Parts: sequence; structure tokens; C-alpha cells
Amino acid sequence: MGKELPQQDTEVKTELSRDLNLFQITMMGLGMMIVLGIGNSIYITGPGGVILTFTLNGLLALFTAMSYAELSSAIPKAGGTYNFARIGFGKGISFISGWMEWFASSVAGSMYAVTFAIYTLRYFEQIGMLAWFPPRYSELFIKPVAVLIALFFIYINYRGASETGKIGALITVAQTAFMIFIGITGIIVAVKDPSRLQNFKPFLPNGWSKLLVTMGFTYVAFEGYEVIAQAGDETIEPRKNLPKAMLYSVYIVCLTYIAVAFATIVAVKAGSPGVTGEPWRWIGSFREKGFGEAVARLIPAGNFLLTLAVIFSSTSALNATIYSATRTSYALGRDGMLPAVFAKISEKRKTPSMALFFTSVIIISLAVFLPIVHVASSASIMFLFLFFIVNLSVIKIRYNMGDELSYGYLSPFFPVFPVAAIILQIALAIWLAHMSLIAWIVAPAWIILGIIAYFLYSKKHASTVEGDIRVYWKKKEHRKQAKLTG
Amino acid sequence: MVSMDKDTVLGIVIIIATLSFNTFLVFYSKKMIEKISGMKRTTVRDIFKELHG
Repeated sequence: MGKELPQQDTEVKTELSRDLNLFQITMMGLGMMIVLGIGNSIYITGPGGVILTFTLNGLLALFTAMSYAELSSAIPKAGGTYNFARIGFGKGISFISGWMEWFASSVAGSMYAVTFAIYTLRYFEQIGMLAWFPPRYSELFIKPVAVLIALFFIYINYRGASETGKIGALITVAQTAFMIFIGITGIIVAVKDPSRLQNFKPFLPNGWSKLLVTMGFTYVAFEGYEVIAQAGDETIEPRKNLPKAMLYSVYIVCLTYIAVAFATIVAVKAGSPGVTGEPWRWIGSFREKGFGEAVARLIPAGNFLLTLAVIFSSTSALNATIYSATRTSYALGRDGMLPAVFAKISEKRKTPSMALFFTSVIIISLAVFLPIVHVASSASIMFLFLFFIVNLSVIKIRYNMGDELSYGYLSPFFPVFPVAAIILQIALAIWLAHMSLIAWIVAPAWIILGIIAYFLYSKKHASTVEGDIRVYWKKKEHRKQAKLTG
Repeated sequence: MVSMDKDTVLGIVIIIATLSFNTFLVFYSKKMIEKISGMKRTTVRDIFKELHG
């Protein structure tokens, strides 16, 4: 590997306030878990397919989480994927990564704000608070409620990482506890009445190929590790806590989803009042509402409680995505890739106030003006592109700079898992393209806009960071070696 | 007793094997993180030397 550079300092310096502990950042990752894909998955792939979907997604997510864990332990800085790409591939690719990450997280934030608004209004309808109001006009409240909840969490994020972590952790604990309660109830019901296991027949009525479709659109629930990677500057003992939190969050999400999907299938007894045909077909016929209809038969007032759970999960996901999008744009500003105003830190709160402001403008504008469903699909494609870059970065950085960086974790059986993740994520991205054509127009359009911004601004203004020095130094060494070996 | 077809058997085998593998990877990784946190120098070479001799 040639002459060694001095190893990095073990203590990682930061301008932000370092007060997030392992529990808080694990909860940040769990906050991305949102239980809206189960009914549709049952409809597309059947009762066994939904369990297989979450099991296999858990494994795929763990492969990428291990890459994130290794890189975050060596480069624990706000910016996540952008930082890794900067050290692995230099300025151009890293700018595009950060640019995509900023947009994808902001769009996801808008989607969660709108989801919150829809379910909150549904909650008020269920308890009769909107009875005096003509139902068709309740739609008018969706956008204002979405903006209000977005503003609330923008303020929480402005207050500081500690507040963000505490509030987010509280909401996520409530949401996860409810999901685990549903899962345990389902298991108890199946033990008491084993005939309900017949609901799993046929196991895969629509064949194995449908699994790729359901894995594609539910994968977003597992990407909490991407949010955790943004907390590198604000985590206590980041080299140890970041990788742990990433792996724990993926594992807990995987087990919770499997338990909840199992409970959904066994919740409905064949031949019970209102249920026609096979229970899984009956649940699937409600599509995204199928999960709620099934849980209503498992737990008294289940539909009502589920509405509350979705409100909880959308707020924690909104909180996490605002945090992630802000840290990415802050990192771009810090390194001169975006104007310096993005890197301004509030003296009082020690939070990136201007990055938060610009991110808020995107989130609120998208929530108010755009058809969020198709734009959200393009965000999913961009997240898959990002994971592709991260899995490539982990291979390149380990081989080129493994003896210069201080690691807190190394992915085992290297490079088998990153390579497997790259192949599987390409497959999922292609299947997502089959689901939304508009997504494959919006995503490239945003990337082209980023390329233009890079050549007009970022390339000239980008400051040289430690990563660039290392990349440059390595290139020089390789040229020397090539000359010596002829 | 629930009778099982080929897809069901294969599906259950995949679920059990995948969950077991996930569990192994998470706990193996946790152990590795704890070991590395006790080391003075933690480059790839140092970690491999310490873990595998």
C-alpha cells in the first residue's frame, strides 16, 4: 500500500453539539418504519409472500447497513453518503450523491407530512369532531395541516439535536410498542386457534417473481441507517455507537414487520361475518387499508388505534427526514459545494439553521404544490442509487485507504455483501421503474439539474477536504508505482 | 395439522435461514465493534492482525 499517512485522530471534532446517545440514534433509524405497505403486499404476493418480502428486505437492508456502519465508523461526519462518495470518488460523484440525498429526504419528508395530515383528519372524523363539517370539504384541511406539522418539526430540529432525538425517540417508542403489541397478539391468537394458520394457504398464490415488486416499494421502511449516518457529528462515541445503532435498527424493523405481517394474516378467521372467500384475498382487497381492517378484527378498536399508530409513525419519519436532509445540505455548504450560507450554524442552538431553512422551503413547497405519490417513487429510486454508491464506496475506500483510516467496525466476509447488495438493488430499482414512469422522469431530471449546478458553481467553489487530499495522494502513489513497474 | 406444499416448505426454510443469518451477522458485528473499541490503533491491517493473528 505504499507509504502510510498518519492515522486519523481517534477523537472526532465537530462544531455541532455532541449529545445523541445510542438509544436516541437507534430510535431515529426505527423512526423511518411506517406501516403502510402490508395490505398492498398481501394483495400482490399473498400471505406467505408478505412474510418473505420483509424477511428478504431485512437481509438486503442489513448488507447495505453494514457498508454504512463500516464507513460511518471511519468517517463519522454529517453528510452521510456525500462524505463517503467524496472520499471514495472525489468531488463530482459526491456532489451528485449529496444533491440526490438532499432531494430524496426532502420529498420523503413532504410525503410523511401529507400522510400525517390525512390520518389526523381521519382520526378527527372517527371521534366525530368533524361531524359538523361537510365531508368533502375536510380535504381542504389536508395541505394546511401538513404545513403545520412540517413547521412544528422544523422548529424542533432548530431547537437542537438533543430535542430532535428526545422527541423522535419518544414518538418512535410509542409506535414500536404498538407494533410489537399487534405482533404478540397475533402470535397468541394463532397459538390459541391453530386453524387460522390455514390462512397461509396458498403460500405464494401469484408466484415468486412478485416478491421483487413488493420488496421494491417496502424497502423505504428499512433505510433508517441512512438517517443515522447523518448524526456522525452529534453522536457520543460515534465510532462505536453509529455502527451499532444502524445494525440494531435494521434488525428490529425486520422482526417487527414480520411479526405484524403474521398477525395481519391470522387476524381474520375464515368464514367470520363479512369475510368472503380466502382471508388473505379479503385483506388484500382493501389494498393499503387492508392492514387496518385486519387489525380491527384482532384488537378491539384496532382500526382507531392503527390510525393513531400511523400518525405516530409519520411524525417520527418526518422528524428523521428533516434531520437527514438538513445535514446533507449543511455538509454541501460546509465543503463549498453549495453557497457558504448553507453551513451557517446558529450560535445559540448549535444547529445548521440556514440549511434547515432551505430544506424547509423544499419540504413545504412540495407538500403544498406537487402530486406527492409519483415524486415519492422517484425519491425511492434515488435512495437506491445512493445505496449503490455507498456499496461501491465501501469497497474502494477499504482497498485504497484501509490502512489510513481509523475504523470502529469492519463488514465481515468482505466484499461479498456489498457486491450482493449492488446486484439486488439494481434489480429493485428496475422494478420500481415498472411501477412509476413519472419517477423515471423526475429522478433523472433532478440529477441533470445537479450536474448543471456542479459545473456552474460547485466545481469552482468546492474547498479541498481531507478526503480529497487522501484521494489525490493515492492517485500520485499509483502513478509512481505504474512508472516503476513499467 | 396444516399440510404443506412445496412453496410453503421452501418459503419457511428461506424465512428461518434468513432470520438466523441476520441474527448471526448482528451479534457477530456487535462483538466485533466491542473488540475494536478496546484497540489502540484501528486501521484495517491492525484490526485483522488483532482478530486473526
